[in-house]
Amino acid sequence: MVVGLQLISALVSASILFLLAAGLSLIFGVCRVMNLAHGAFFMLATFLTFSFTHLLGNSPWGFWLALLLAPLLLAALGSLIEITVFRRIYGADLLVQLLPTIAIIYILGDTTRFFWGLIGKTIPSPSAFKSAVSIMGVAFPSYYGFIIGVGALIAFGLWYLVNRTQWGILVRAIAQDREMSTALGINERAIYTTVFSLAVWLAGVAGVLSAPIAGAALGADMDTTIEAFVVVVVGGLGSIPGSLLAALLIANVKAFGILLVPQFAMAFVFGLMALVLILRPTGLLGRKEH
Amino acid sequence: MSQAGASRSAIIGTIVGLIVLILILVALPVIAPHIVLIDATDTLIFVLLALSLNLLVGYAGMLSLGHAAFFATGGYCAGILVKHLGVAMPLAFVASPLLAALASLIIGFFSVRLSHSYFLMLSLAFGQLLFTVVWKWRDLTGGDDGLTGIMPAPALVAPWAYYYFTLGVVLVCAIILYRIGQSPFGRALKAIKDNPRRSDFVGINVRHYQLAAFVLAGAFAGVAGALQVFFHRGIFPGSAHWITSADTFVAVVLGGAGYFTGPIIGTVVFKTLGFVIPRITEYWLFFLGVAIMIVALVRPKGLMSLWRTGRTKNA
Amino acid sequence: MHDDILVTSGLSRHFGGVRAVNEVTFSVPKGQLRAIIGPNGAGKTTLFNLLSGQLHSHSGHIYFKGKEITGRSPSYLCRHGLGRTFQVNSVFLNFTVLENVQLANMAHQGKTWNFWSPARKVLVEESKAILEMVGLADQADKLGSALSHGDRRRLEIALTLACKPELLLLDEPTCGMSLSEKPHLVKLIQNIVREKGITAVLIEHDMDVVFSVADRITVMHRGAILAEGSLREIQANPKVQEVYLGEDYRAPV
Repeated sequence: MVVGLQLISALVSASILFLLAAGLSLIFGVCRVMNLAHGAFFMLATFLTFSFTHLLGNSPWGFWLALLLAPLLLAALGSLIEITVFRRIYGADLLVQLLPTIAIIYILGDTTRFFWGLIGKTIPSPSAFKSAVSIMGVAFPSYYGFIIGVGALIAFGLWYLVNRTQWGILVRAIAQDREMSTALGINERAIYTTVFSLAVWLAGVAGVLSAPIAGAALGADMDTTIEAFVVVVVGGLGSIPGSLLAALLIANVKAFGILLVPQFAMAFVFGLMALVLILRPTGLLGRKEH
Repeated sequence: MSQAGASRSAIIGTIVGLIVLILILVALPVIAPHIVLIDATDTLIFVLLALSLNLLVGYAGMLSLGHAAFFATGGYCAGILVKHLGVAMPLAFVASPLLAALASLIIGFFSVRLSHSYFLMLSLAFGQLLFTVVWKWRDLTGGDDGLTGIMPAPALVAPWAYYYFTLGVVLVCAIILYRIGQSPFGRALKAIKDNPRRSDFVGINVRHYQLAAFVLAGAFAGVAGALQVFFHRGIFPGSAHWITSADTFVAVVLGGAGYFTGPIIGTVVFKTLGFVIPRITEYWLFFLGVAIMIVALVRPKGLMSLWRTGRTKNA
Repeated sequence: MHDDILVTSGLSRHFGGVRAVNEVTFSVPKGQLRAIIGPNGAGKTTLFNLLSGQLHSHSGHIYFKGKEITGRSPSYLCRHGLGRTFQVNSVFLNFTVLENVQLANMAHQGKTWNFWSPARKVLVEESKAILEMVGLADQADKLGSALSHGDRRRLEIALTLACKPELLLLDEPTCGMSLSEKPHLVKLIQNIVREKGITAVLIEHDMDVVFSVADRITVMHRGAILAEGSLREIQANPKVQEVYLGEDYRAPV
């Protein structure tokens, strides 16, 4: 039944990857910027979760408070960064865009170190999910089920948001044709800020959810960003359904890669990214760039 | 002052400045404390790495965040040749840029067909792929513990001796890279960056030239890697991580990718901040980040644009 | 006919369901100045893109100087005597005028694989000679981006000349030029073409230009060749009149 557990773990991984990739894909598809600092928000969320759970001692409320507040705090930070930095580099050459995003990595990285120090933290699983669950003979922590559930819920929520709301229509309009959208008087700036904040919020949720499993550690920013990029590329830049599909694919490649060739599982993941870029750069579900 | 007079005094000024700089660099082991010598050697190695990346970024307009892969290839190849195969340092040192060039030929072959953003992401993919291999292949590379105990030739063991060796190698490479930049090939690269379609229509096969630039850049990064491994007596997986590529990229653009001296200035500033700020506070990356942010937003053309107004081309 | 420098047969290219170029078969004899005219969307630029190697055709063949060139890359064709200008000016904006032409000269003579010599000293005299020919010698040190629209057009022609073309494809060379500038450029093209025996194929919308320079005219419509002939023949052709002027027009008998 190792396979069953691997599958469940893969779904957990996929949920978290999806949350990260969806946000990154949104920023790329709408704001047309490669947010190399995306993982930094994830990392901050893991440490914030530690603080919230720590703050309230062993109270079960710590985790829930973190899940509620940390993503929102980060979204606020995100909008601040978007307004002060990203707004100045929209439409600029790729060369000009990269440096500020790398600078944000340095800044947020050291900020994290300033508040939480060098040593990684462990976060206890929320007490509501201490028990194990068994489906078809496979036993797994109920917390895994919670993560998968949240992932699915947010996936649906995003779909609804993008396809069934006014905001979603505006976002899709801007993603498809910037010039026309401005000509039609759509308030670009507001949309960009909300998209960016939403993306950071998603990264925040991913961080909070992942914290009890993977803990909080410095360096997670760089590794998480690159993993998110893999998913975005494979799924197709700017495509949220693509991110979902790719997250499932990558999580499984990793999970079963670890079973088969434990050392080089990640190599397969990056190899897949390279292969997609070489053979089909627009990814599984991405649109052709005009 | 007439045009001719002004440019003549500029040339004289540049030459004098260069001579002074070289004199200082040569005299360093005598006039500076030991720690400065170590930092200077380190900085020289990264200057070479940055100059090699600039061939791609500044001249050909190919943005790569995977350049550390070739730096690490050079270093690890030299280290493996010396440690596992008993090759003498001089031979290993000469072999590493060739092996790095081979790696960049293979990676470049697949990469140069892509445009801008996709090329960038593929460079990340290949870079992390190589990092993962280096990190996990413990038998060959020592994995997390790194490849250690790599000694340079006996004559170069003393810090001042290795410093002069590094200075010599980097100077020679810098001159070669300068000449390449000023050559017809360099012009062709700039043309490709300026207008790839028109480049095709004057007879420049864009893909071929991009691949050549990629291989040259990889080779020089390999030299830097070899210098690194014998300097630190070892090399670690971090040298292949995209964080190293990002640092190098920052150094290039901070100084000014459109100028030959840009990467040099950028690396010196980057490294100096890294040596000086930690004396004041341990959160030097924060301040480095802020400094980079300010320069990037205020002077996107880099620090060199403060000195040189007008064109960035043909500097 | 072996006198023809450019021959196409059954050349086709579609985009999705649209046949942008539809079974185009035509030939251009050496030394001729051929104009291709037609309403917007007729497929003229797509045809040029096919001829110059930028696009792959879906069927058909192209022959240049008697040899098949279907599928060859633009840089190959350029090195073998085919030059092209674009509807929207395509020059090196960050190079000076002289550097622009130097680059083209160096590329044509295989000197761009030289990694060592200072480029600023290479092929200067030849480049200046070309600038003389197009009337840009006094602007040699101006950046491409600083040139007026008309001068950029001249620069583009200079770039094609550097590649010693035997065939020039000119896509709306006078597009965007003022009424006073146009005749000068037209004269320049005519002189160069006659002097050097270059064959030129011109896409043009300005009928005055077409009528004053073209030896022969090809009319395209909806991706296919509608008519071909001398100026008079085209003017009198009822199909051409219909396409340009509507069905109710009838040329005076």
